[in-house]
Amino acid sequence: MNDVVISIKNLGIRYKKRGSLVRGKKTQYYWALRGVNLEIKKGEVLGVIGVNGAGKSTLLKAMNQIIKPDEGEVINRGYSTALLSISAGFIGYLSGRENAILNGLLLGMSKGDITEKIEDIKALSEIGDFFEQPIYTYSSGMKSRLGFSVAYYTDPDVILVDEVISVGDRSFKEKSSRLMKERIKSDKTVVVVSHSMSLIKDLCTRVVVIDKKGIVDRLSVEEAIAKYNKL
Amino acid sequence: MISSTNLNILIYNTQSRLKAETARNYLGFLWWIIEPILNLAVYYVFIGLLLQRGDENYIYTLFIGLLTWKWIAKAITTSTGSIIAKNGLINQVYIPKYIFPVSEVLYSTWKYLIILIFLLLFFVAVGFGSSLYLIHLPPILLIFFLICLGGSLVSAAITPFVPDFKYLIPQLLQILFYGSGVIFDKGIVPKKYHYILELNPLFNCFEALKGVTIFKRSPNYNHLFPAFLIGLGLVYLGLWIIKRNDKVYPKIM
Repeated sequence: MNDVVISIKNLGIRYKKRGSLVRGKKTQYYWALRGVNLEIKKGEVLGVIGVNGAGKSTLLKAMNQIIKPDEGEVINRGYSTALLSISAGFIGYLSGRENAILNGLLLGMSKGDITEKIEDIKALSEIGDFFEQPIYTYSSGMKSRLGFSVAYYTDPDVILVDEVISVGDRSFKEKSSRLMKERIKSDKTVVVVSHSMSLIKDLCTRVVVIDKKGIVDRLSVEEAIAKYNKL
Repeated sequence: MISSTNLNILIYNTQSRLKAETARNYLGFLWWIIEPILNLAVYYVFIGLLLQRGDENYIYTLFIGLLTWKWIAKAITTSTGSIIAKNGLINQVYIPKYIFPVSEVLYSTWKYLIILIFLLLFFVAVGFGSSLYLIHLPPILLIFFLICLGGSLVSAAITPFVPDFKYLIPQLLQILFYGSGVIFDKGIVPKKYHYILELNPLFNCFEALKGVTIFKRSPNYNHLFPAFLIGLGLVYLGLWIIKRNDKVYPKIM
């Protein structure tokens, strides 16, 4: 249970501030994250909390290998990661089926995997015949249902969650929330970024607070939440 | 070199580009043929009929030249913003960024090849085509393809860092267009200036293209070789920049 899945060592990521040759300003940077050390262990559900702009989403992107650290390193010991995203890359004029396939590919599924699961995805989304219609005919709720269903069947080793775990109307919200919670509470490794303390308390086995001074680790879930509430 | 998942994403992305046009318009994929024909008809009426410019072959050299030029110019123009356009997506999942410009190039190339077949059939019908010379067409098209791919990769790679580049690209293409002999025949330029034209590798490619499709002339491969090298160089340069910055692009958008 204590295998390290991802270890983050002295991570620093900076973004460029807008520059212009004409005004002759030197390029300036600001650090979204700096000096962050963190280990994610197999099977844990790690909550990351902190105020807006503390770098939580940047941290998820670094874990997901989307952006490269400017300092330090993110070591992934061969586990697949995916952001449980519900909006990535839908194309309006493609049908739900085609978008599901494309999205599955983007989230790292193989073509064979998707073909196998596509009917399950359709069933889970409960959008019926709309599955064969172009996405621009969908309501936004239907789009998020489809997005959720694809993401649910993606099943990476490490699930990264940015804020949202449930989508749709009341009945679908209940279903998606229940499914995600089941998934999260099974032996999955999960990193959750959220401002919802009740969700964090409900799901997480460990919580870290992230602020400008880096990550605060080794707090109990209650202590971490108390600290966040004081920020 | 390219994993099967990435290859599938590339294929799917390209197909969806093609589908965009067939799905969104009433005439669907017929536009791939109608649009260039309308385009050429305009030139035919104004230059061929009204102005009576050039000899009778001129209008046909214009046809093949313009189609080929549009293929390359359109691929490069649409590739320019192709990485930026996927800003939302690349901030959520990792995708090798070369996929976006390469999709644009494959999409343009596919459309070009279809209309090219029609044009060549038409040329055969009016008595230009000859299989003896058309066997030189594939290597010439390959060189065009490399230049098209290279130009697209480089412009897609640079524009996220220097957005100003997108204003420069159309101007650069315009210069290349006039310098490549698409709209004029070598014959109207005084002989002493020919060497200037021949310095432009694209000019030699278009000469070769007109030669094999219309004038029953074999290409001079020595003249084509620099264009081949430039094409390869651009492809390599573009891929190198994109690969180096694969995980930097999401940060700067």
